[in-house]
Amino acid sequence: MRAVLALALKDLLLLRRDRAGAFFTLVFPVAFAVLFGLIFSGTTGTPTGVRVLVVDEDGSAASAAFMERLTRNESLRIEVIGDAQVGAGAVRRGQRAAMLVLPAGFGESVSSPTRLFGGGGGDEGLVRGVVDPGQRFTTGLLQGAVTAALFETVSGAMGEAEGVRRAAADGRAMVASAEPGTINLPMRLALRGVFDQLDVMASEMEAAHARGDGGDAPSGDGTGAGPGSGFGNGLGVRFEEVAVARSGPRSSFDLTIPQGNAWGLMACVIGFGMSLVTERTRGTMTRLLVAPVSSSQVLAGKAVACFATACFVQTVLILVGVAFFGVRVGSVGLLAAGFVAASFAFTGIMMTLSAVGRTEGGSEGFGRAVLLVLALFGGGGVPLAFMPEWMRQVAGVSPFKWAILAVENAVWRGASAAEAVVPLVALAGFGVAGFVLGVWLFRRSLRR
Amino acid sequence: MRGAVWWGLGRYAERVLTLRDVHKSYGSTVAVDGLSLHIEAGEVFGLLGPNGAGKSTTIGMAVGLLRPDRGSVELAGLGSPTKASVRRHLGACPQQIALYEQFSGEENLLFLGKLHGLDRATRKRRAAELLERVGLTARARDRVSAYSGGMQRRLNIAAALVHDPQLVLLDEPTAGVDPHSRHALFELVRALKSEGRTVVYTTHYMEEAQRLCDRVGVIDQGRVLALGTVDELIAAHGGQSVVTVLRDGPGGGAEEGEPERIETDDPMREIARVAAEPGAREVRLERPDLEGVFLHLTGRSLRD
Repeated sequence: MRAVLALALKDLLLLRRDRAGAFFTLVFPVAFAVLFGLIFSGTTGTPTGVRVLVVDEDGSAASAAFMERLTRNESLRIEVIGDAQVGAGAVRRGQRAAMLVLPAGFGESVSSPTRLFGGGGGDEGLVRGVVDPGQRFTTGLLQGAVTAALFETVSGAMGEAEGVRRAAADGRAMVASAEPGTINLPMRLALRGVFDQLDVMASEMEAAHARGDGGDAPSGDGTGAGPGSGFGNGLGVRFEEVAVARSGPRSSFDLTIPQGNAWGLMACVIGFGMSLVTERTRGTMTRLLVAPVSSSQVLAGKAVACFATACFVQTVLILVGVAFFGVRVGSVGLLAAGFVAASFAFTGIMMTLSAVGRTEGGSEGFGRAVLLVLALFGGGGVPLAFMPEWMRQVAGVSPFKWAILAVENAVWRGASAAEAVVPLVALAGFGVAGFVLGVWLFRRSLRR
Repeated sequence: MRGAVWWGLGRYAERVLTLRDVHKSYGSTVAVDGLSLHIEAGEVFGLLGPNGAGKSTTIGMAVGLLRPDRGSVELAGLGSPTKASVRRHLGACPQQIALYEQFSGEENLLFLGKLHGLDRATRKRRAAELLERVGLTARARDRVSAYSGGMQRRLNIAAALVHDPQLVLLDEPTAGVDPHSRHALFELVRALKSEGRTVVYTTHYMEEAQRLCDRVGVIDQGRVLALGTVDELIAAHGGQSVVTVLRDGPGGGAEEGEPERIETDDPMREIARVAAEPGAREVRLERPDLEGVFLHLTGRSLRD
């Protein structure tokens, strides 16, 4: 065992000294995952922010104005859709952070103090929201954004003097028609004062307009409906949480980190496979084999180094994903099992690859060609979900598919135990086949 | 360990390594064809032959890298070198530079010492000793890729000695080295012999075999053609010495100004005779050498 460890340490040290090899084994997979993660997430350009769906069931000018104001908020990425059920499904699957529904009557509500202050929105609220409970910070962000947009919309709706007078008149009519006992005397007096103030405000707006200095929306002081009052408390929006089914990736990094793993494994296979061929062509294999170690020990040393490096590369990648790109590991145990199984499989493949070629150029060319095709078919380039059905069927022959799936199961797929075992068994199969074939070919080459 | 190996080998026989009727083919190409020889303790044994004669294949079987198709190889008292435990007792220096270029000279030796099971202190001591011995102490921490060809050759031999073996097999150790490094390698081989180690040395340079080796086996086409000390081989297969005489006037049967060639088994007596005659201006002696032996045995030159 000491000899095997000495051989493995030697290979790890050689990898560290080989800058190109270390780059492709350690740096390239991380760069791949980050670069493609950023590209697919769209975070390399605008717009940025929380992805929110909006359903406009009202179709009024006020609702359009509300959505336009919401779009101006740089913290949000607004997408307008027509079907609230579809939107809720997207939130449930974790594809979008939240959905807002502007119900029919939204426009009337925001322009009518009666409905606005008198509970016109009822328990439903002016705006209904659906959020992912796993992203509670989104709820606070969204509540603030919606409240601000609502306030601006309401202010806009009452921004013309005529609208303000109409609101005051509606209010007086509501108070007058109220059933006895429902509004007590102090409240009646207070409301009368508010309606009188609205009339005064309307007159001031007309005068200002005549002077040519605008006639903009009144300040919050004039209405008592500023962000610090009713809307600021979230009066106009009511959120409900949906149980998110983790059947989809949370972000593009959930896809690209496992893909980066695949490229890291490929670099390990090629790097260590080539090192074994190089040992033969440069004569150091002869040096090793005249030492008191067996050919099996030489191979085992190479395998231990390859396995350790593969585990290390995968661990670094997932740590980068967790630390910087919001990747969340669903099951650490499953992830560890996936790493071990994938490392075993690709170490076996390395053994076979290293024994196939007689020259460094031949082995490397053959290895890259085979592994590249397997990686692309296995979802190392384009995620399997975006591939045609026939390619997804063919992908089963690629160990890359199973390596990616094993990690995805642990990260975002929420696979059951039975589902999680499948890629692990497949990887173990690739590993055993690779070891058996590789050892046989290696020993045969020594006999030549 | 050195003592253990020595006693282990010495207890059984003076023959340290024995190859009996070994055959090795690569497909239809016969590399070694019924070769038999033994190496005696403490000698420098040269395996002399042209390129492709089967020297490296013979060494490969002697160190356990290759299994003979037929015949046997035995390290005295220990068994076949195909067993890892037996290989512990021999040191082999392949013809090719077999070093890790990304490692320094010291790191190469330390790694090989570890592979041979030496403890840390012994590894460090042996590495320092060997680097000193091959003149690389000042470059010990430099990467091998920065060494000259001659330095790499010297380190290549040092790597075979890291575990202090009693039997050392050097396969064409001077291939492609400069005269300075070649001289240093000769000194190293002589030092190994003086320490009582047994050295097997393959070469296609007859001068090296003649200068270094106690016994020489002449090999061609996978077979040993002749075996013995240099003097024995020359005496048996080298032919006669040639005394060339240049005279001022005609004499000795040659035309005036033409050198006279005299083939003789006793060149000193012939020279004395010629020197006593009047008119002899210049006398040259050409002794037979291993080149002549090879020419005599095969009808070809060693460099063909």
